[in-house]
Amino acid sequence: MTMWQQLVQQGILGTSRQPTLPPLDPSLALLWSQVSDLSVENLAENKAENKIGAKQDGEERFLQMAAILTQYEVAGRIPEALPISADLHETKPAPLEFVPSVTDSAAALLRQLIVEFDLKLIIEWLTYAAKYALHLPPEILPLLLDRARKERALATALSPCLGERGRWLLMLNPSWQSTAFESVDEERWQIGNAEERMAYLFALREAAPDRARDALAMVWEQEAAAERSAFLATLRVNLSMADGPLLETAMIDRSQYVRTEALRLLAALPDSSLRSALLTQITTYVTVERGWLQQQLVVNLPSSFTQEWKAWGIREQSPLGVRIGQKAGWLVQLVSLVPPSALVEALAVDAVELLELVRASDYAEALVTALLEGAEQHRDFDFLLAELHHLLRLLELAQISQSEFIERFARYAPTLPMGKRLTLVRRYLNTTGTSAFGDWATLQMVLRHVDSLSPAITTQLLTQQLPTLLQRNTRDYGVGRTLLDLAYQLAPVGYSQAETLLQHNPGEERPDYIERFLQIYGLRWQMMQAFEDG
Amino acid sequence: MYDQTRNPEQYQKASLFLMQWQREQVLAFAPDSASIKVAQKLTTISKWSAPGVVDGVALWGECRGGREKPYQTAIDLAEIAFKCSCPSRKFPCKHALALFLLYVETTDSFVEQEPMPNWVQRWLDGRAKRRNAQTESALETAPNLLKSTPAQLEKKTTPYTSTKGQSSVKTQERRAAARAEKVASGVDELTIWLKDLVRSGFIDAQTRPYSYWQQMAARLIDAQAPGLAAQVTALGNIAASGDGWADQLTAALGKLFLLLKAYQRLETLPVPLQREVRTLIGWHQTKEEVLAGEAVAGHWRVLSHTLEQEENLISQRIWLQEIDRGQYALILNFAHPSNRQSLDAFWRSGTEVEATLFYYAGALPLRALATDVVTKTSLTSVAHLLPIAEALHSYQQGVAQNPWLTRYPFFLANVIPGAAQQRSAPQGFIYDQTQHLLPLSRKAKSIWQLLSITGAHPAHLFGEWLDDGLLPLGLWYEGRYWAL
Repeated sequence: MTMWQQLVQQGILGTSRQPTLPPLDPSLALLWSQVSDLSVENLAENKAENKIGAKQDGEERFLQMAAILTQYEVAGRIPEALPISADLHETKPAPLEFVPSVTDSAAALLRQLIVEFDLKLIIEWLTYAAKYALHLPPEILPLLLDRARKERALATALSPCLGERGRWLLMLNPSWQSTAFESVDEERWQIGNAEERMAYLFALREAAPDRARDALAMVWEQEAAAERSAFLATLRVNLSMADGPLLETAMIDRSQYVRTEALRLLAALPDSSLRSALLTQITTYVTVERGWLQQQLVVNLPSSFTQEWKAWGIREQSPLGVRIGQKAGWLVQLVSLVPPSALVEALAVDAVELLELVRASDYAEALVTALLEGAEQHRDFDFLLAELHHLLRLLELAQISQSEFIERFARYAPTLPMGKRLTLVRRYLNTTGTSAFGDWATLQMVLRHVDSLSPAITTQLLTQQLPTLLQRNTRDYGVGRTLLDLAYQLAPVGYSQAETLLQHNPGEERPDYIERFLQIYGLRWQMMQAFEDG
Repeated sequence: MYDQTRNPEQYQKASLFLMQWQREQVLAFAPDSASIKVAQKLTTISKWSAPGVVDGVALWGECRGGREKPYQTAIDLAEIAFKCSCPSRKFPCKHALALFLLYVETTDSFVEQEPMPNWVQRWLDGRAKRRNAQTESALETAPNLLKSTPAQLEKKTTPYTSTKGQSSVKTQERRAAARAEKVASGVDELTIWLKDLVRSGFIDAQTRPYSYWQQMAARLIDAQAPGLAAQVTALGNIAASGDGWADQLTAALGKLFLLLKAYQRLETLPVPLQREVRTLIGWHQTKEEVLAGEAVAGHWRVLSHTLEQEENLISQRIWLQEIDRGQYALILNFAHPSNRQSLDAFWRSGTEVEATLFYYAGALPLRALATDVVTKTSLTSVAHLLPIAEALHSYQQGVAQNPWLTRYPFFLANVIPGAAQQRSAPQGFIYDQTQHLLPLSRKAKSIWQLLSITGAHPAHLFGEWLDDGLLPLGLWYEGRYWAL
């Protein structure tokens, strides 16, 4: 034990419990004499009698030795030399960057966004950087990597702009690797909550479908029914015939929810025997009769309920809530089980034709409902899109109201690709003119289902919709919320139009929500310029 | 032009600085982050009527608020100060911050306008009047201080000495003697208290409540030894600091005991060390005293600008390095978090300034006051760099002059950062081309930034050497200076 360690130990215990001071190194005697009350002459005298510090009490001697040793440690320190241990060794330098860095103005803008940490705007900035194949300024990387540990969306946006430096940093710091940048994290599956485990399975299913299925099969028996049903739904990602055996097992599960989910997944598999069986039965009752000039749907209702249907979850007594007879109810339930695209193929028509034929049939309402339910369940977006375009035609003919269309759009939009949603919004705006949205809440309902609006839609909103809405009801509670959404969603190119629209007389106060709208929208406009000019 | 001594004659040069105001510098004035948020809502020109400016002198505008009459807001640009007619208790208020931000971001929106509105002119006149009175008072005192010994300085630190009669001088002498007596008894009391602490042991002290340390600190304040009070408070913080606390406490006790011993023998110490000891005990050196010292004019590199907050005190630390001689200086300012007006917002790391400095007296003078500051350019080069072994040696020489030296500037040549993963946090370190290694301080948060900027390639690193390692503050890499 060194002199210092002995001293610290004495300090911890106290001189009352440990009165003996560690022996003083003779080389420190002069220093001792300079601090103590003893003169050098006295020191020599006392030293001879081995009584260094004899006139002092134990506490003073302790404090004095602490003073001397502290100075001694400081003054005598020499730098250590590498490598000290396996941990402290030379670091392999980062490789050179192959792609250029962002411009100074873009970097300055990012720094500004980080001060307020507006995640949406930061992600937009990163999306621009990725689009132009630029890497981040190195001094900002650690901060964003830290934040990305908790923000998966940020991690996803950050990943393409890391550059060589970022990837090198990830190698050095394992805490940055574990969650955000590794697509799947085994630990989350083992000890996470239901939501985290679902996220794990989805991510794994996207990356390695077989591993995800095996992971689920491994725990299948131990999971509760609600988890079995929810986890099974993740198989829809990259669904293939290899999932058949697990789905067959799930088809005889004790839980009706699990069986229904398994049935839908099997029905979605093009080569499954279940799908063939369902289509065979449906096409027994529903056929297309083709004449010279037109074709029509012929519907023959089943005559009796079978045990096989019961296994498929079809209820004998309980149709879908529409006012139809029992037999029609069986048929409707059968139709809702298959993806409409499969039925389209089986009947050799396209989605639009099938919907028209069904609407002209005796069971129009019930069958359309069944087809749309099947489309929603199987995410068969072609069919839903056809329905929404049909509704737009009705809107043009004033046969339905705007709110009916908006309501249906909001319901089906999550299944539709973003491009298709924007096409529908554009067509809706063309159809309805300046009165597309009766209030701010309706506009917000649409905005919730679209992300970045195209320049054309932006112009329409800024020149036709917003002037009307702003004149009509600026006291509406939703105005601030909706304008905030618009600030993030409108195409940046329309900023000057927005400024013109919201121009006001000098000295007149503008509401805070307008200022906030212009501030955020303005930042996005600056962002676009910083990247495009660079 | 910026002048810590507030010399009104230097107004005309202020615009040199003004042209370089940055958004970050303005935000540094904000008393808290909430103020920044609310101020940003007011940073559109439409919120302001009659905005105007006289370049380098003042900036003003009227902001429509919740009342019928708009709030009148003005900023003294020559030596930054704010005025607003709003009732806010925050300082500067959101209107002043917003006006300044607006000016920085959209300078063109402000019309150069002379004469200034009456309310602005009246405010500036009042400020100038107060400033002139202070300057005259300082000038009257300063020449006499030039030839004073430290012992005499005690008597001459108030501006009234030269204008009052002999009775006033006697009063000062009586006050000084009374204070010396109080401090001496405070030192004795502290010595006994320290011995009690050592007798009962650190473990015992660690379990004592916060009030145990605070009561002793309060008694030292009463004894007019605020420097000692602060050190006792620091002992309490060390005892509750976790890993390595016993070693740190032993070292801190040792240094404190050494200081008490030094004070008891003050007369026998060299004069610079006497000043150092007196400063550490709590004697304050006034600006007038400092300005009476030797002026050091030169070109300086601004190597770091940091703010540290401890409870209700913000410390602003700016490290400068004289370009030719490599001499270091530390500008140190303090402020309460709710009012940052006494902090300097002008300094920017990585720039070169022309300035005249006056060092505070001490065993190893580092702290200084800056006057006649003019920013010139961004740094184009760095110099006076040392390898690790030499830097450490330089620090040790410094300790020989001032045993209480705690933060010492290191500008290290061609060092490479590294990080070793420990159980709780990465242990940062740097090494140079001779493979000498220094640990980074536990206070250092910038190891990943260091690695990210340099990619573990050699770079010149500036920082403060603390008890437990280096605190990186700036970096010269690929022809550019990075503030850390």
